[in-house]
Amino acid sequence: MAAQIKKEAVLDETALRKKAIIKQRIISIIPLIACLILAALYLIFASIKGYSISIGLQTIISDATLVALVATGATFIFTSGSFDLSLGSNMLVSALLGGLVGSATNSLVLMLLTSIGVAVLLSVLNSTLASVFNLPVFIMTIVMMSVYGAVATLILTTLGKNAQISVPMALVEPLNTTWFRVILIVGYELLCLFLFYILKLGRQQKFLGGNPFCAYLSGIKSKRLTIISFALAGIGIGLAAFSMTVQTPTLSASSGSSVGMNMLIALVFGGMTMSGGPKSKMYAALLGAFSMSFLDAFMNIFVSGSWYLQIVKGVLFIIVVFLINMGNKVKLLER
Amino acid sequence: MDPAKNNQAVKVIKRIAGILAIPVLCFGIMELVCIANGITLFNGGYSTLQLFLRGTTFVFLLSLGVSINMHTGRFDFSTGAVMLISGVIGAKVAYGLNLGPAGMMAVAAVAGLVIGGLVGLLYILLKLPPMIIGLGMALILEGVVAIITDGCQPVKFGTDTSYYSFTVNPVALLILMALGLGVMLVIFHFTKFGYDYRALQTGQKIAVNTGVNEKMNALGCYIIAGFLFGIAGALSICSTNGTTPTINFSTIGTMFSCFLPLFFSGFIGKFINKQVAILLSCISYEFIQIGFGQITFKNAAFTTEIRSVVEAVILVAFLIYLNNEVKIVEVVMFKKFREKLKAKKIETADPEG
Amino acid sequence: MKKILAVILAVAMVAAALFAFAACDGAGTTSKEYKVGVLREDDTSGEAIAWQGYLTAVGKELGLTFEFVTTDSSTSEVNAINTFAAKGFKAILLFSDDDVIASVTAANKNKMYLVIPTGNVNDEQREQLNKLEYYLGSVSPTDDTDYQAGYDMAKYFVNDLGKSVFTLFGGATCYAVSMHVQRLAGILAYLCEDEGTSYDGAKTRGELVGKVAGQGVDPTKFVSTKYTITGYMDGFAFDDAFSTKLQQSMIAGGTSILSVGAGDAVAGIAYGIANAVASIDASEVKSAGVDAITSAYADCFNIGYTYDCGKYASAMAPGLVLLTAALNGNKIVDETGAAPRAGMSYWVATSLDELNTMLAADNETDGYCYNGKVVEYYAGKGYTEFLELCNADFEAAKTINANYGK
Repeated sequence: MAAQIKKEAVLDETALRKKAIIKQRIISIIPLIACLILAALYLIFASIKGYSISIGLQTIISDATLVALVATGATFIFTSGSFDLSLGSNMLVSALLGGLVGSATNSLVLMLLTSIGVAVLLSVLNSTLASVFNLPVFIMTIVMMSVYGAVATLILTTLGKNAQISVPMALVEPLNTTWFRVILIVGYELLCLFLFYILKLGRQQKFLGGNPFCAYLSGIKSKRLTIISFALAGIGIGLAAFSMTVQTPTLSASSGSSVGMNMLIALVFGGMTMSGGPKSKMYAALLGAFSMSFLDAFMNIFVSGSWYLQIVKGVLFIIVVFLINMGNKVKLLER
Repeated sequence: MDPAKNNQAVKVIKRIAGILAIPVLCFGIMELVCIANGITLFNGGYSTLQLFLRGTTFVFLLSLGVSINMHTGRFDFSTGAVMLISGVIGAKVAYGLNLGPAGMMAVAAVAGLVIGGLVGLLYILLKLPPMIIGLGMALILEGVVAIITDGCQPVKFGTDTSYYSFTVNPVALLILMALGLGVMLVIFHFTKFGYDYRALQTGQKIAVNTGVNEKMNALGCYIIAGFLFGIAGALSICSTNGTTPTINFSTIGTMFSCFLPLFFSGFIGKFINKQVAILLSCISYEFIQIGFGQITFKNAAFTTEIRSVVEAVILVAFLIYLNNEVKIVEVVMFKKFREKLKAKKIETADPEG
Repeated sequence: MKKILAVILAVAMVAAALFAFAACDGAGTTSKEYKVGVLREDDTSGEAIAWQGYLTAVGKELGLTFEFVTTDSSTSEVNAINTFAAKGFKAILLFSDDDVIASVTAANKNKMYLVIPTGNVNDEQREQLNKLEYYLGSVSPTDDTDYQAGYDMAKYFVNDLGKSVFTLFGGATCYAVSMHVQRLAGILAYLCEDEGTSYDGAKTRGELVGKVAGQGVDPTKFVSTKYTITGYMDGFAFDDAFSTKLQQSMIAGGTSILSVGAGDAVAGIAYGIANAVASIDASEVKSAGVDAITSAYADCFNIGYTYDCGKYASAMAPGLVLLTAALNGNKIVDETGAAPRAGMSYWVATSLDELNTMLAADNETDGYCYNGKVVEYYAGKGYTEFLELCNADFEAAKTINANYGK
């Protein structure tokens, strides 16, 4: 009798566990489902309306590329429990200096290298300042956001013409194609996936983000790892700066202005946890960036006022994060 | 003299010095910089004092509101959006119904309270990180502002100058400051809510396990912060005699403008009550702001960009000091060197020991 | 199984409803109508609203449907153009100017006509744009017009109002934006015509432009035996620092406030200060700006605005003429065969009555000065007539309306 009860209890527990695993799996694929639904909605309605799907998809790719490049790099930062709000202004400074070098030398390679170099340098500067002086990274990046913004304006007013820096269209025109953008994002994404999932770097970052104290006790050098995370994010920012210059070679203070914040939304849309740690996903940024672009494209079919789109984005943003976090039974409120 | 009394006196002097160090330093440095530029800090006399008071009141209300959530580890990105929407609602209702500036402050405060409460309600119901809720709500609230202003049309007061006059009326400004300070002191120091808040602030898990209702406390925090943001938003709109709302995350930056006074208060707060420390920090901050204004008035080369970099450098320098205070004091006072010297002396005096 | 069936059924029902909804929405367009996308950065100013009203109303007469999109960066400009292309739009009116070359190139790639109705392209840009088949040209006040606008404004304050102490607002001069630099140089140039007056040693237009572009005006460098500049501000952050400086300047006597842009915002703050600070005589405060001749500025005349110079609702007409002509297969080109780069005159009102007269001649209810008939008339003409339309001041505009708009 007792054995039977025990057996039944074990069966119940197994069923419950199975149920919980299924639930968890369903929750984990919500961002993918959301992206697919948005893509399907866009494709269906664009077809019904007789819109050009090919041009529409090209726009979506170019729209998503910038955000995805920055957000994918930022995933390294977020995974290890850090935060950076200065990515957008870092991208602008990198693009401006890259653009100046590009137009002075007429070399795309030098433009690319400058953009990446400056972005990595500024990104590492953030983390180094924070590490060396024991400053909260979040605050540090907010301060640096305004510093980089001011530096960008100074560059534009002192070295630009009419507060703009122009790279010759003829120089960037050959690369201003959807294929180039696809290659760029796929290449960077594969590199990041490799670093994150194949090498121990990703596991260390997850460990550091999940439990910094244990990570320290296990011999993980948190400062070094944080600096590496910021440097990798810098590569993504540099690529985004380059991609932006290729697409729109006249750079001004507003270039890429919304990327910094859209990157955050994309990460969350893609299922990335803001606190980092073991649940972090490298592909979340790409998924989120495309979800946002499909949503924008879908909304553009019906709504022309940007503020309605903004409200819908805000509501969806909260709903998606809520759905993703549904499985987490937390007693305490998140901070 | 009684050594105990002597000690007490030293303690009091140290405390007073700690409380006044930042305001005095800010005033002194800015006055010197202004003089170097051929102007004085309070050039313009009474009218500058009016602007000084206005700036202090605005940043004080904002800092108080931000401090409530920030000091419990919650970064609320919707701060600026709550301010904007409350101010706009206040302006539209008050101007439409002829309620005057005081009415506008009241309407905006209520609007802020309700909207802040809404943000808080979402936070406790959805149990998401406050940054996420803040970002989402910033998007939504900015969108709503655009709708209620018919696509971000300017909000103005026509020929009615009472709204601007209110913002340079010292009595009105002092009342607003006293209201903000009073609300914060009473709620956070004389109610159960305040005790719970501090328990949650220092030990979230322990506080919850001992029966503190965290959700209600968090909701209360958002409501009080919203109330303060509402008044600050209304004051901001009145001080420019109207506003043209902007969207696309443009409100996010508002929150950052009170970081410097809040970090100042981190230092002053070691010697005095937190809310009073924030007030003194805001006064110090406004010395810097008025000083910058005077310098730019006299020296056109001191542009907005240079000003933001200087402000950022001050903030970073102060943060570095706050986070490395012990090390810096050691370096400044040659503490280690003196200890070594002392050790050497002992060694020389007693080579056997 | 039942659950799966239910889900499939629900999805099918939703899809069907959405299809029906979309199908309904598409009805009602005629084959002769063209859809035009409008890209703008500013959707809130008085002129932006007036232009939207004009384009919507006159567009109906011409069979053009306009869809307005607000952009905030060069990438959003290009993406918006591509989105319009995907929707099958025929043309673009480009008000935003974050990256003109990239935007025109994107429109050209998608075979969409593009007009810049209120923006100037420089020589370098023009050389690149003229190679693009679908680029139709630009219409905007030239540097000369902007310089003259500033010059005339200062002249009016000195000669007609007898003023000699000024506060200047340079708008985007700190970012070296050409039109604001030219207007500011115009103001200074007029003052520097006085023998004992110079700015940092400069007196002529060329020198003054070089001195202020990207740097603004330093009042201490303004030397004069006749005039005083008590304060200078620029940038568009109308915050506490701005009002502090404005107030200081007004207390110092600079109650004549000359703005090269955003005159309504500056006038609003100045009005508040004038009435709140006892040491300022509110009746002495006069402000002016190169802004827009729209109803939004009528209110400003009640709060000290004295001189309003700017574009008007019908200022969109030349752009529409270029577009309509191209859609009709009669593309207007200049004497070299290139897309025109035309100038445009400002209208000037120095009193509320004058402004109201202008508004009465150019509004949605009573009819626009350059209505559909005027646009159609000029669309059928050549470059010379087109320039006549662009360069018309208020009096000439009334004649045009009388001749071709009835």
